[in-house]
Amino acid sequence: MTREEFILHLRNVQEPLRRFLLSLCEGNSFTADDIAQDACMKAYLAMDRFRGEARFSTWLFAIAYNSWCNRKYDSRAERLEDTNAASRPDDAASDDSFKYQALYQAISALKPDEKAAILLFYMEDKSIKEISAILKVPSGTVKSLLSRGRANLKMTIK
Amino acid sequence: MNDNNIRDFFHSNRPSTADEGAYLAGLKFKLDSVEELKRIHDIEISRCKRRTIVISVFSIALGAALMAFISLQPVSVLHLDTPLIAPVLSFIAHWEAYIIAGIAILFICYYVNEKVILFK
Repeated sequence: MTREEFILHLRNVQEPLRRFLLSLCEGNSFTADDIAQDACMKAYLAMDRFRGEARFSTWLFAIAYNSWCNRKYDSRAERLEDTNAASRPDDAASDDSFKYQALYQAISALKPDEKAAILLFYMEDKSIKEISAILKVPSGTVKSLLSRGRANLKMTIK
Repeated sequence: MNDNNIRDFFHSNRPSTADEGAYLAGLKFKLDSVEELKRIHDIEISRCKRRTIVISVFSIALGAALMAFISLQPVSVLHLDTPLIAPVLSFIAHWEAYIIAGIAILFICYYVNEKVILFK
């Protein structure tokens, strides 16, 4: 896959990918875009290892989810993000966060893996098999994540 | 609330992403940077491989020369204190393979470590 082909693939995927990460980051568009770009760079460097067993979008979502997990659990990175966020006030992002407050409020109570499974299933319309490949867990686990997430959502969404 | 209601909720609340042009420009800049780093990295790796080969060949040649020196005991260097030098040289000749391997491993570890740090 050449650089041009890679960018062409990316153009079709980047909108849902950014939306997924924006939801995971609960409206922090700066962090979401940074993770999306990191994921794209990792995918670009690992392009030779993409064998086409899964769809390109699934592969890229898996890398992005992994990057988000790493970022989330890396306290140093979080501290850095806080500093960046403090130094770059993003008015547009704040407005958008407010606009989608109902969504972010609904998913904020979910555990990270439940949140990812719910967003992929209900927002991005991914199949159980695709979610299983993205989260790198068996299909049964995805079903139980969805079930638990659904139960938690019912309490917050009225 | 059933499955369809939840799906409707998520579809109607799909967050819109920020300026696509700025995002793609940022991505392009990062990809260019990564390509440049990768190019420098590849050059460094090939340079490191060349250095390792040169050092290995040089060490083997040096070892062979030492062995030849010890076995031939040239008359021209008889004025040297050969009984003192011979054990040192024979020790080096005996452990030559291990010494070369050790140096090579240290050399590779140093360079590999440097590259890993570069990409962290």
